[in-house]
Amino acid sequence: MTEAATIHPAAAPASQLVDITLQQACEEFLKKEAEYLDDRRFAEWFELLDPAIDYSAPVRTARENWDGTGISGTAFYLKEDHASIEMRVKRLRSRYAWSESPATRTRRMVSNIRVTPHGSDPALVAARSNLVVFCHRGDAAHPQILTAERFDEIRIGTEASRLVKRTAILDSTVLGLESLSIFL
Amino acid sequence: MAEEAFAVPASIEGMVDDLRQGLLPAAIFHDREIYELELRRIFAKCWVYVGHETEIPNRGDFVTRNIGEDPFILIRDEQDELRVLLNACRHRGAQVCRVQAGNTKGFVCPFHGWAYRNSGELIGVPVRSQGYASLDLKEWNLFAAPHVTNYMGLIFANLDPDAVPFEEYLGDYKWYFDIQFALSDGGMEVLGEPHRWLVDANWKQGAENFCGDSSHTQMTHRSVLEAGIIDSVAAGAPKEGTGLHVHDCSGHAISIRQLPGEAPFISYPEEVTHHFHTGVLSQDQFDLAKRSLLHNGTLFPNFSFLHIGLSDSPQKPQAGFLTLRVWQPKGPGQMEIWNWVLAPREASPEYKRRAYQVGMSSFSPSGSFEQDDVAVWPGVTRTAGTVFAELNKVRFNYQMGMGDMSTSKPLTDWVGPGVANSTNAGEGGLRTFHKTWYERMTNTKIEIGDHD
Repeated sequence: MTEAATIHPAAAPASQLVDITLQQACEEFLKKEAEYLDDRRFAEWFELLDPAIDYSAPVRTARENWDGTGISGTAFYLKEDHASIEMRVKRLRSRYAWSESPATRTRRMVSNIRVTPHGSDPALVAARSNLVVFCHRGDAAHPQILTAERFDEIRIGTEASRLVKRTAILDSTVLGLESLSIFL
Repeated sequence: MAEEAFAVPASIEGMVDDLRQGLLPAAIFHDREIYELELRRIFAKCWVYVGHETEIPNRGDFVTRNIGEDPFILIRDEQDELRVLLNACRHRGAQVCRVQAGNTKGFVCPFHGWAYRNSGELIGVPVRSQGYASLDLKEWNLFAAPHVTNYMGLIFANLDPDAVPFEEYLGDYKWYFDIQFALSDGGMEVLGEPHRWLVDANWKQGAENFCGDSSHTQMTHRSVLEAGIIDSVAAGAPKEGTGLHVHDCSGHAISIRQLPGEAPFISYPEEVTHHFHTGVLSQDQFDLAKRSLLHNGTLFPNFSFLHIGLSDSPQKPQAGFLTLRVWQPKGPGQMEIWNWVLAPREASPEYKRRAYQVGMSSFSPSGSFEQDDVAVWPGVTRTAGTVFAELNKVRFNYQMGMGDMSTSKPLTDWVGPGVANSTNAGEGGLRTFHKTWYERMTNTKIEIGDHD
């Protein structure tokens, strides 16, 4: 049914150091992005995306340790391009988007950010980070918690930086949330 | 030999009268006693979907699935037989398989090491000569579902040794069911691992919804209509002529939206539809598929399908796909939804990727449609669990389109089986689901007379 997952991006060798200002710019970019999402400033968040954005969150399954990563190359919770994300953002503006009306109150923790050069383009970096999102809905006293590892490609610019690619790999095999109505 | 009726749980006494009035006791969505009986009277006796043959194409391929809440392994054994094995060692009950999918020649229990072939046959017991010298191995194979069938690639299992054959269970509903899976010679192919997620709603909430709840789309899915990724004919307000509801079809129901005189073919593009031909379908079945925008139905109890064309952006063309559902019970107040996206096997790899993307984008945990269904359903379960509902014997209203409620009468010249209505402003499919549910829960047959 599905070929063995090949999308688990390999980390760049640790010996490849990146300029400290690039590192800082990348970290600031990821923090700003999380702020926009937590604040539901989706129009501003959308501006951070490169028009060629490749944004995905693959499904994973529990497998034997010798049987690959269990990260699917064919099944996804999100498999988006610029136009499909635009549709999702547009839908969120509707007062009838019941999953987010009233909105999930999210709190994103972005940590363990590791930045490495990406290919020959000096402005393009690969950033690997851990993501924890606390999701509070309605009057539920306790949050639903999503954890994921993210593999990003970010173009750092002097005026504006853009997210070019994101693969967000959730740790769960069965989602505990009734819907994935937020961006990762 | 006449079978005996089962005792009716106290919380649904008088439910036959309720059903005749199009009313449904709220208790069925939350009562623990009812839930425990459902597991025994419905899930242990009906044909339950466990997977698709394209998920396990090779010998030794397996996936873990559930019947009711019980864990099973669906595996293709070395003889190419499909087996549905209880995931429990015959020795002391530990689970022999602790992953969700893989390929194996057999299972070795991690507790004491009893070893089984992938057919479930017991082949080894450690220290047998010292401690199990007279054990007859062939008496201790893994428990298996007594009936397993592969119907057009769909694998169903039945735990009741006395079960009727699957085709008898399917009955006249076969006429509609086959259209979903036999438009091309290769049938349908599963396009990836299933989505699985938890929703705090009773399993029947999803199952009844797919029986023909056409009037919920204009409200529950209003945001998607606003976003412009679906035609209002396909998902807007119910409409005479384009919306068609079929109920009382061997206990199952289906909802269809069609464009008479046109050929949308469930929004499949020509590159896919040129593989479609009548084959095992009749000309009438094929013609219905051709003029259809969408089909959705539930094969009782918890297997649903939606055959539809959508897009993930108003800037991109629509693509047809098929989504399959299992509404797996997990207690009276929770279900786990399983979702698979399928496309015709002959479609190109590019089309399959597109169909998957569109399917995921609309009907999945992140689906622009489905997100809003599951935002609403938990409220019903919560209401059903209130003391107020219990003390006041609250009943929900399922009377839409019933009797005097509608001027529309069942079609007398409809080509297919079941009771067909040319308007989808009705809840007849949902009434069919709950009638079947009551019959299964009580082991009786009841007459409702939907249009008296």
